[in-house]
Amino acid sequence: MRPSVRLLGATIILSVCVALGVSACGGVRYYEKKELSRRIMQFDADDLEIAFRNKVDFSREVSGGRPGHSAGGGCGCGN
Amino acid sequence: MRQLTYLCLLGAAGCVAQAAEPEPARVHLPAESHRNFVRFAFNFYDQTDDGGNPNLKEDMTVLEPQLLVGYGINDDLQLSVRAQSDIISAASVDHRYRFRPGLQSGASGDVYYGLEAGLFYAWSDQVHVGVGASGSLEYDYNSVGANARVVWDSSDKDDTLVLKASAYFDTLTLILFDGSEDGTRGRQSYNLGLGWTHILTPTTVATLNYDLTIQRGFLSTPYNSVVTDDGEVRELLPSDRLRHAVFARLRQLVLDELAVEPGVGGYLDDWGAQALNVELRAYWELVPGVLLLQPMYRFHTQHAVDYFVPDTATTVPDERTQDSDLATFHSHTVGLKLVAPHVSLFDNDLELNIGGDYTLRSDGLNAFSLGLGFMVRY
Amino acid sequence: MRSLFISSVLALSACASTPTTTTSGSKLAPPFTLTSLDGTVVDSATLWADQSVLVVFMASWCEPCRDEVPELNALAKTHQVVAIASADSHADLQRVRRETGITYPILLDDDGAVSKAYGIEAIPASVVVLPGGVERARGQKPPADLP
Repeated sequence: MRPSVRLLGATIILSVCVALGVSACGGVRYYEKKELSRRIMQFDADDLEIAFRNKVDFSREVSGGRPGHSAGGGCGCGN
Repeated sequence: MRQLTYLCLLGAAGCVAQAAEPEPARVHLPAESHRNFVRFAFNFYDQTDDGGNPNLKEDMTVLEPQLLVGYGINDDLQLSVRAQSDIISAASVDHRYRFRPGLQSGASGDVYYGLEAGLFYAWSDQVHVGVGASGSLEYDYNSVGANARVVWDSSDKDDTLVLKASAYFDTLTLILFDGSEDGTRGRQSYNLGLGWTHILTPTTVATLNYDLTIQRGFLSTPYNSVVTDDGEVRELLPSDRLRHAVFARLRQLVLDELAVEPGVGGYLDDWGAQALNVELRAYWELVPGVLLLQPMYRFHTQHAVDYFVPDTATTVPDERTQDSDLATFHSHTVGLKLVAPHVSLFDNDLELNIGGDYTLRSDGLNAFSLGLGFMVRY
Repeated sequence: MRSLFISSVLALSACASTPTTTTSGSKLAPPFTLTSLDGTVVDSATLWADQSVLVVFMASWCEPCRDEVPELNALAKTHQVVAIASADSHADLQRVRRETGITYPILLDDDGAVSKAYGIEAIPASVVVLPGGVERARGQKPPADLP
């Protein structure tokens, strides 16, 4: 089944709308960010795991791993 | 699309109540701000061939040690250096007999060495800039690369924008599927990445990332072949490729010790490939302050590139591949990671982690990986 | 930026009350009366009547704030330093003070009114107030020296 480009576009639009919609009410005060400072709320805490996963995903799938990391070059492990 | 518009308006009209109240004392794990650390990881990856390309045995084992060192040169400047090696064994790939003694290609086994170094500078309270360089070496492949990034934080730190650019320049020594050699070729990859992280509520943060990659040069895999009724020929792919990838993630604190992260991503390129990824991760403070458990699930589905030749083909097209990784398939991955973020040993502050995952692919190329890691902060 | 104090003005939120100015146009730091973690009542007018004061906005859960403590402790030996914690757990503040050895007073801004008056959007944040209450400069990091 061919993945839907429409679904991809809808995902992006929805994500942006939610982000803009909620933030339209006013930002989060700095003293309300206690929970966000916790480790379990941090994106990408383990650089080496990300590097390993991207290399594995990059060499085994057409999409080249997670966006935010280069999908091209750097190793001879295929496409 | 109408439903999306409705949701957009709903989001804009709604308001999240922000109540700030002092909370009772709890020991939760804060995000790290340690600038000096040594992180080591050892990964094991094993793929079994229970399908895929019927003309190849694609069993593969990879051992990967990695080392990452971070060092704060001064208050504004951070240095990081990463080194890794991949020891790849694909001994069951049935090409070895075709190679003259002493000749090796990625199809029969390989060792990869990679080194990356980067500097990250705090230009101002809101702007950070980074530059880096990388190099890697394999028996029949080497690469040099450079990268740069700019990170901008809004004054209230609710938003972070990242602009990244990288380039890789690769040289491949062509050792073909039949053991013959065909000189060297070059390959260039240029990547531009955009990222936006936004704090939505006191317990919600989201990120959206987009990547554009342009590749030029020899983009085929030298040791791959295509088998048709006309015989076995080398893989040949176009010398240009334009790739788009986007990914959105949202991290939500759902219980006091539990955060979940759904993510969705898409990919498409001008070779006709399309892919969709859906992920769900959880971050659970199993023992607050002491132990984290991180389960994950990932679904991946992709449609083959236009040049994919089914094994039933009777003719050989000019541009062709039978690379399983460029085929149509879907996969499910489940994984689990255990992290002990603060272990005191001989007056050192260590972090230990162990994890693994298993991937079930619709084409039978299943795989599992295990990883061990530790970090010393100093 | 290394040892110099960045005198960038933080963007004020729409709800923040803007500090008033002196007749010469200098900006006055918003006054406050807060209770410290030890129970002492601290009035800003008395605090900066005849000395410069470094006002540091921090939180118990803020790791970069903890990283600044040694530097602030050193400044506190020769200058008046006060920390203001907004809407923060008193027990967590006590724990952090114990763990990091903070020597300067931590004032409790439980309803966030003072941080709002100062227009603080992110922490850590430092504000230098001259004798008489004139705000000289503010930035993310504490200054290497105080007037």
